[in-house]
Amino acid sequence: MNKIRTIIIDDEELARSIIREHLDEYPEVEIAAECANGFEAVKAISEFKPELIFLDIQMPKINGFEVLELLPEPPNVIFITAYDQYALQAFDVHAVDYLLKPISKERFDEALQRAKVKIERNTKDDITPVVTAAHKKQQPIGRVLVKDGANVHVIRTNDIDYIEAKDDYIAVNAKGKSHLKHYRLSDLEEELDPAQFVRTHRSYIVNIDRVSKIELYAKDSRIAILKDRTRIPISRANYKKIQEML
Amino acid sequence: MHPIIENKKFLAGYFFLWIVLGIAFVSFLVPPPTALWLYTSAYAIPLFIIYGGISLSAWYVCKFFPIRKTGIVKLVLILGAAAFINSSLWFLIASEWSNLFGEIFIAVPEDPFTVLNTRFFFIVGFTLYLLSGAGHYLVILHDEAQAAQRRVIESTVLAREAELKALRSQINPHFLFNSLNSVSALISTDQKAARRMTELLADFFRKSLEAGRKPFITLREELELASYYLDIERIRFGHRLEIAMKVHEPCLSKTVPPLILQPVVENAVKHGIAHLIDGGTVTIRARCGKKSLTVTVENPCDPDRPRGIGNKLGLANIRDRLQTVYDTKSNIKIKEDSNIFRVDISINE
Repeated sequence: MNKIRTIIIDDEELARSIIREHLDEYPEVEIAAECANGFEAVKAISEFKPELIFLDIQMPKINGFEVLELLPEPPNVIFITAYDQYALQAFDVHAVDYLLKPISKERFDEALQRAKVKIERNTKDDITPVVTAAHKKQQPIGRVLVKDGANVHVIRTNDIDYIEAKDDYIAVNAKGKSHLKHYRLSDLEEELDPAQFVRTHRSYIVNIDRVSKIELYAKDSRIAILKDRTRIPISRANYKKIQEML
Repeated sequence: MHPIIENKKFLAGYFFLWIVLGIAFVSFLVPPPTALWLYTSAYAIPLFIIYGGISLSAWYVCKFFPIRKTGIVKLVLILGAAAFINSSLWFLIASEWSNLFGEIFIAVPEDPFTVLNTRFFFIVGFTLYLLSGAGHYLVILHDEAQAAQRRVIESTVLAREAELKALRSQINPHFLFNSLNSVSALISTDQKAARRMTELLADFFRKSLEAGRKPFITLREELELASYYLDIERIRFGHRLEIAMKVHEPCLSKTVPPLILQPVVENAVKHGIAHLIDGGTVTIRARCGKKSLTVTVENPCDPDRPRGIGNKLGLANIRDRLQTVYDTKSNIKIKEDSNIFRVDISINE
């Protein structure tokens, strides 16, 4: 019988040790890795491809929800939190499994049993609504997370020059580098601060602070010239909006 | 703003009083009811109303030379000089008015100015001005007493509120549940540490409850509380949390409102260290002079951390408390640059 691979993710060693201790009674579950932060978690999950993760929500730099957001196919999750009214409400609404600190043996056993059933049946809870809800809570966003292989880059929105849509991806251009992210430009537009970022074109969002001037390009069409001389197309429909912002 | 001019009812009552005074003085010198009494009154009443107006100026004298801060000799001299100047002015007005009065009422048998006697204006004017000064001082003292009482009530209410808030934040659910989780973990791995942590938790809660009941505690007690808190968090965070205390010995006996530092220290951990993968050091410094005390809490922070409103509210609450207790003689400064968050609390007794 194949063992269930799991990863414990919590920034506190003592909190991880409790999970480890509870898991001692389940020889069919194997701890593939322990992670103390979101960066490690994204890396370890990509590497070990676990069937189940124990995921603390409050962590430095990248929180639990953000870890999930960065994964193309997140595994089964048992969330862990000490206290987060907002998250708990979302968990209950969307029937997602979670454990409260201090973690009790009974709750742990129940959650693990349910997880085992799901893994056997090869089904998963849909955690998207929970992740989206957590994401929406922080709007306008102050940073964009980008996964590059197993690494995660945190890009401050203030550092972004412009964003370009490329098929299913967006290219976030900041500090002279271009980062690809599997995301929709229209979704990002909603999340960014509308006082700072403007959609100039179907495929472009520009940081208004970076625009140095707007030039007439051809009859009826204009381009924005950024401070680093990048030329960004402006569609006729969006020109008025940009003029107002400048 | 002048307390009498400000209120129309007061002002009406005030001038009515002057009219009554005028009639009383005239009646004393020229017994009624005679024609002489009648027109002397007609002459004197406008003068008393005018002098009533002039005497309102005593308020500025009183305001400029507060009774508590001015020596008695100086006070008497200043009020005397003001009374002399104003009664002289009144005298001049009275003499001018008598000329005008004579022109209007040609049939006047006697000059009312001489009837009332020249000295009258000086003596009565002088005395009444002094009385007005005394009255104004009373009004000012009364207002001050009321304001002081209001401040006391306000500060009690705010202190009570702060106490409640402080207690609620002691029972900060994150802190409590995470601590209990740590204890639960330690029970099977390190029983001594588990016991120590329960003791620290008990000490911390007991001390905060005690401190919250007093109007002031010593810095020593406040720092003790912070140490319990930090020791607990150190068990939780492990090597990620370091603490440095640099406190000048004489500062320890200075007093502070209870739990004024505690929220700042908690913020340093919750919004500072907790967001750093490798953690950092929370530094607490205290320096003091004869009547001043400055406590500084400094911690490294992540400029990209998610920013909730909780942090700001907590610090605003400390500012309010300091203001009600020390008025403008205290200050809280918040600075964040190059990944360092710093809060300075300064108190001047």
